[in-house]
Amino acid sequence: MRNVLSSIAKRRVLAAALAIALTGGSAAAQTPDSSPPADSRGNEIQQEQAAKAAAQHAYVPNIAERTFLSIEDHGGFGAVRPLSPAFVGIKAGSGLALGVASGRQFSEGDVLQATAAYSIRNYKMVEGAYRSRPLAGDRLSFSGRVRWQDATAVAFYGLGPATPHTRADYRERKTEASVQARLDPVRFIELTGGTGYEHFNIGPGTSNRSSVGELFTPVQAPGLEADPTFLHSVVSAAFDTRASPGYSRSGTLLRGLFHDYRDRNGGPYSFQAREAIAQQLVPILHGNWVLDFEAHLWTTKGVGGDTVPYFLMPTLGGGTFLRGFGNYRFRDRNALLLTGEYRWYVQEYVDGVIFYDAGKVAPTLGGIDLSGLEHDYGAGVNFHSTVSTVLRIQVARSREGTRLILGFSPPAF
Amino acid sequence: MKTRLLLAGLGLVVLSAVVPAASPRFYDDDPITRVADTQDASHVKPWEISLAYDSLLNLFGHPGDPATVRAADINTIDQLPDSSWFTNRLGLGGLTADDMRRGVDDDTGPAPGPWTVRTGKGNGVSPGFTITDVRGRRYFVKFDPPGWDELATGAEVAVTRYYHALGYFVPQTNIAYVRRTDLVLARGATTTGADGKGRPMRVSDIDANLSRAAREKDGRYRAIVSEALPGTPLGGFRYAGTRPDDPNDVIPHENRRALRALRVFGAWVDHVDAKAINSLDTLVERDGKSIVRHQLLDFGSTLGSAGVGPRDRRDGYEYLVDVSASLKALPAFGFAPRPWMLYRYPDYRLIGRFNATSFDPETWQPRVPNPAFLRARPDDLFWGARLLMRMSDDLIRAGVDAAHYTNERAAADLIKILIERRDKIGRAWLPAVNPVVDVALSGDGVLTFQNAAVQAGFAQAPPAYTVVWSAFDNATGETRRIGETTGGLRMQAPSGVPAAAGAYVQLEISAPQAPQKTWSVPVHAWFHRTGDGWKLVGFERLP
Repeated sequence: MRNVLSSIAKRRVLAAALAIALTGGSAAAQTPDSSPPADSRGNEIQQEQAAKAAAQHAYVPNIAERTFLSIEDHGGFGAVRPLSPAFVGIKAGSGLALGVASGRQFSEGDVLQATAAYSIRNYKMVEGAYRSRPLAGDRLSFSGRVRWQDATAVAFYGLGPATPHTRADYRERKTEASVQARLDPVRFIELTGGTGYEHFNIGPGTSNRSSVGELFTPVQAPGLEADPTFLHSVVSAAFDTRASPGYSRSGTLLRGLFHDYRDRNGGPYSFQAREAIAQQLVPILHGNWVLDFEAHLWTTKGVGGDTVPYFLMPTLGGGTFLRGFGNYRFRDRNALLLTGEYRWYVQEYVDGVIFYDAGKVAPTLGGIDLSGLEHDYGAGVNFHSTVSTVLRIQVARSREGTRLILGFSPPAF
Repeated sequence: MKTRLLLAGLGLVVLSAVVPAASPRFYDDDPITRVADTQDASHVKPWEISLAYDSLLNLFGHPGDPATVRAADINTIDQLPDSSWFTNRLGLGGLTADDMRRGVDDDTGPAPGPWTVRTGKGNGVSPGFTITDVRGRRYFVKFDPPGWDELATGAEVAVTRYYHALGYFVPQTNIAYVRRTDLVLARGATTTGADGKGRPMRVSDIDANLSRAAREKDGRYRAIVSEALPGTPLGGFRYAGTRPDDPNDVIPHENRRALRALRVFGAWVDHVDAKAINSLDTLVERDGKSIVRHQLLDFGSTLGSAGVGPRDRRDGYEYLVDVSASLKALPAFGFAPRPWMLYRYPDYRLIGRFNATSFDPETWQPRVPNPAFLRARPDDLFWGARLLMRMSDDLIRAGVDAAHYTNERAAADLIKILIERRDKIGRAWLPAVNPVVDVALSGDGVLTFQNAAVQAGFAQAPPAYTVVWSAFDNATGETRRIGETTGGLRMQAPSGVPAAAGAYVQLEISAPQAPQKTWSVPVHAWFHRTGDGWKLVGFERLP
């Protein structure tokens, strides 16, 4: 306790100095130091504790701690809140979008949430969404949403694999009301089905670039003059052994989707789309290295001689698919993307990434082969939680130049 | 100028007014064996500690005393007295294997019969309930994660017993088995809803909880049952600073050896989760007043367990965020893997990721920097290592016995690992400072002592020890050299040592010829002459 003794003496001096400074000396007589010197170790400790008793006060957390406590007390960082900032993706190419979300999570787990967002490129979105509680022992859930979005300048370079780097823009306003169900009958198997109405209002883009109608004809851009309303139904089946869809270091994904778009305005734009995804994550040395191989195939076909509108055709380019090219750089009725990614452990929540993408679009499914693939490569850093990739900072290079990719996803924990 | 004069004058007034009269170095009641909490703490208010804030503060800040000073909760002979933080148990000797198997008290868990579920844990990752048994006793119940039978429950029971034996306040924990049919929902039971608010609990909540628990082949669920700690919960304690509303909490926590030594014990059992929210202060009644008792909780993330599965490979080897390691790893493109990625672990799932071969006590790290661990000095680590070395093979075995592992070979392997890790700790920290212990001076002037590192077989005995003898003035702290002796573990005092009652002598004991340079730094021992002979009143391994 000698150490206690010396620290007690120092603190007494400081406390008394402070008391005198604050009271002009009158407080000195009231400090514990005015008590007689301790005559035992026990007495000395008692005096120290008595001195603190005279000055004890409640703990007051600072503003940062109060903020964290409030977040934790209300369900954590991923919780639905009455009012919160929202970092949402409106549509690829929107740029950074900020908004507000107002939601409520009910005691059984149902979630109701309204979100509004506005991006630096003037894209807008308003959405009301519902997600059911987990049902049937966590195997079944339902969701639905009503959404309006306005993408003011969506890029269009024409259809086909060899389009010149001449960009036109169109404006896409979309209104949607849809419902979806998801069933996980057994481990690793996921079945989904949904349907909804989607109304598209297509017009000239608001940027300084030429509009699609100025550079392309309806033959070159089917659906140029259309404002269709679709009954859009979708079913999918997946075998997914990944730890989480948002972030995983191992596992396999095999997913097939079938979309049916029925033009409810009587126009010639009913079509069907099929999508196949295969992903294999290969961990090496306990996840120090991860090889990520992905293949995506999209096909579309008009129903009964109808046409697939250009604004719903598969596209390549942008921060996710064929990253070395601009958003929607390639577009046609069919598309293929092959990606190889090498990730390495930097620290628990950071991975280094090197990637190579190759892909092409084609007017017919027969045109989808491994010849004439566009390709890019790049590197970057991914910041992630245990279940989601929160931020991607990547640089990608292609024959059309070098692009910086900042991909942000809301954190999930 | 006027201001300077005023400040100078004020300084003179302060010093003359409050500097206490010179205190003696040793009081008659030294060395104390117990620190009493003398003040009533009934005004202490419960507080919440934010996990995120606490983690960020410890990862990126440096909370606590900037200087690493000598532990402030030790007595004058460098030992921890009993207190509201610590109770000498293992250190006193005499702890038996039965004591270890017994744990905190005689409670062995819920009585046979149905368990009445009172509260649920909501949608947390780790399933659990609060129940009462047929006697009305309340227990917290937690289960193993699916696929990892006995991993978390075994670790929690064994390590809780070890920490209790080492001297800490912990809840009594036991292994119990329950069938779904034995779980009965109490009328008025509540749980936490998805919205974070309380709501009535339903039978389906029990099933949802159990769906996240490991199930035995015979349909039972193995659980850890822990008694509620006595007193009113006040929230956890931080590992830096003091609780401002607890009058008895006068020593910054980072300067408490009781907490610094957890660096040693944490390394032993891989308690990587030693953080504020895994502790609990409770208001208890003692001697007619309320005081705060400080307890450690939640040992599910120990041994090879992370509570919800096996421990991360990084655990114990690297902080959750290590900027320096990250900056090296990024440009290496993964071709400089961390050594811990290559370590191998036992094949038994109930052990998880826990071994001795890759364990290095000196480089061991918890998940998040701990202010008390960071300030642990060699004398704190020595103290902890010496206490741990008292944890005999039999006591370690008894702790594992209490976990009721069903695979005897796996349990035997676990015991072997714990023994090897204990010995690694002894090898690392006993010889790291001058390991002279058990210093005694007989009434006729025969000095005896031991060398803890040599005693444990972790170092060779030095050729000789040198002792410098001085008369010591307890009032002024002044010393007067009497003489110097050289020899082994037993020496006769030189002539001139005072023999009058009330006299003090100071001894500086070192081993200058030892290969360990630190052994040439003398330990200091002070003896007070009483009617019964010489009494050890002071011991200082490092200043």
